[in-house]
Amino acid sequence: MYRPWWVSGLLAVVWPATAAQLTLQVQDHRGSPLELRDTVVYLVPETPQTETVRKEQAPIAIEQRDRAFVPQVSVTRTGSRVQFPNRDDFNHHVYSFSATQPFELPLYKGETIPEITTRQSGEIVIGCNIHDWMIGFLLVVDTPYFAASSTGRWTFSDLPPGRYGLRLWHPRITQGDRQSETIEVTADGNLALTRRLRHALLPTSRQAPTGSQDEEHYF
Amino acid sequence: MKNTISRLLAAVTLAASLPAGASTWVSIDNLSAFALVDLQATHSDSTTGWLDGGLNKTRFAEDDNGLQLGLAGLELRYKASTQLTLQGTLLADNEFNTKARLTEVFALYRPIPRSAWKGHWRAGLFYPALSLENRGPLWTSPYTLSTSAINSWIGEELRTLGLETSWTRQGRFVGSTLDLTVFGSVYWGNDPAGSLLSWRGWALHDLQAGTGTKVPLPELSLFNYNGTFSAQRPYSQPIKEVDDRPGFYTGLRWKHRQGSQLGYTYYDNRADPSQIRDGQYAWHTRFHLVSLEGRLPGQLTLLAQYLVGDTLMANPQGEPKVVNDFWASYLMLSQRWERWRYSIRLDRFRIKDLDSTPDDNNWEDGRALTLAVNYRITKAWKASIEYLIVDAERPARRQLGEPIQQVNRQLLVSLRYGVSLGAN
Repeated sequence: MYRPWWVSGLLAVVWPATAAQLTLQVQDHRGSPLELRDTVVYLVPETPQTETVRKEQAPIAIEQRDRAFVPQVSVTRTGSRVQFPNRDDFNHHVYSFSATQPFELPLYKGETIPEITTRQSGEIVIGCNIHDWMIGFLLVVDTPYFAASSTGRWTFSDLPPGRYGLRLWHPRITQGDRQSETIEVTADGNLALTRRLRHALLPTSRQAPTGSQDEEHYF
Repeated sequence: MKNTISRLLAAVTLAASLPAGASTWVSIDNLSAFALVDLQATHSDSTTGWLDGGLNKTRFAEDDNGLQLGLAGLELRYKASTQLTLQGTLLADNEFNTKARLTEVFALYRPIPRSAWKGHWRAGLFYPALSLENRGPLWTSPYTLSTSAINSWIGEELRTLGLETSWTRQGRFVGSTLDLTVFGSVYWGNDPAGSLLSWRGWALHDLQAGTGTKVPLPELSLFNYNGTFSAQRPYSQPIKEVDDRPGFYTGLRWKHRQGSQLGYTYYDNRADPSQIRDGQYAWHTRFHLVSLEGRLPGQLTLLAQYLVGDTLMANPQGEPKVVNDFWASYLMLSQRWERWRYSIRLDRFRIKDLDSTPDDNNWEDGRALTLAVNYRITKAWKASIEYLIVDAERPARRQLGEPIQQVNRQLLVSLRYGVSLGAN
């Protein structure tokens, strides 16, 4: 069933959902399942929660492989380690000028794996100073409740009861479709939600040299 | 001139080695090179080549028929630090006075971007980024052996000896499919640029001038001891500084993610046309250049450039002696198919002589058709065949006892070996 995003949001607030498990399905603006690689859904608690034992996030890796960032889209939590292994046999010079966390990892190759530790939530766009077409996206969230999916379907289990801001993120999803709605989770039952994007996806950020850059090696 | 270059090189080398530090300087890991050798079999029907004082339009003439060294060259790149690269190109062939010459030597500084605008600075001797064709190593073209009239002229008369900066707003960081680039340069040298174009006219070839190169001028009576321009040596030294006044170019370019682009450049060497030094006049040369590249479906590429400008040379009193308007354009289609590349190019070029100096008619009107097929044998070997036909009228040919209107045909078969060494 299709409901505009804002109507769903309103209904969700007015009629609190009652579930400890949340299943979310997202469709693109045409109504097909959003099969977009590594699309992130995360839930930001809006009621105070006591996280008795902080769930430590395992380090994630953003590789440089064949002059591309792999995976191109990643998500992790604040205070986590992000490693940048170079799988190419030549140098890369990884950087970000994003306000969230600007950084620079100088030329390296081989065994040394440089890393950063995420400080605050937000989007970090990653580039390479040598290979201009390389582009990667890292989303840092300040919540333990996040998941990436490539099928347009997400499941969150064992959610503590309370109100959450539900958010959707991917570099190809427009700002308008990324805004959050509030959902309420109670101790019993399952909550299944279906959402549909209002806008078409933004163009792909292809990590490949343009034709002319490719021909520079074609003497 | 030599002093200027060596001083500049010393400064560039010093500047580059300071932040890099002595230990990095000797690291062979950061050195990469590209070596290229091109052997050509030629067949031309031009009677006198322009390299031998004639007024034909192709590189080779009848006398050259047979095997020739098209080009041998070495491009060296040294990564002095994460953001600084030093690059130099040494070319050799059998033409000009300098069989071997430096065509480029510069420092490239690419600071880490602080926003979606990514910039670079270049200092030294280098090609202004004007050609759509010469995008291969050593400023070669992946499409044809002889480049268009426009880019042949850039290869022989234009070189930046100075500073250039270029800033690109990277669309991928701001959700756009277009990159916008703005660039500008201040340079010395290039004061004689315009002399070859005026006196010899447009030509289509693959020759590149370099440090110390003397490009021969046609054997016209105006350069005789009693001729109008007896002060001019029988050659042009394109990179030479004559009036100690810097020139500039500036432009912008939109480039689509898939490689299509549209660009515009304004170039003005700001030469003082009343100056002459060591037998080289200063020519005040200005032009507009519009460039269009279309990446069409199925590996088909369209390249088109249009250049329009003027040049002025005067006597010491500042009275104009040579005043020419010029324009040239080309349209090329190139199709890649597996190991093959097929290219067809149409050139149009013209010079309009606006002065009334006797014996110095620079008027020219011509067109050219280039057909080229390349075959990549292996990664390192490439074979090409090219047929070039140039039909041009040039009244000055009468002075050499030749017909004003000539058709020059040239067939080239080339075998190229190119190898890249070292770090990527």
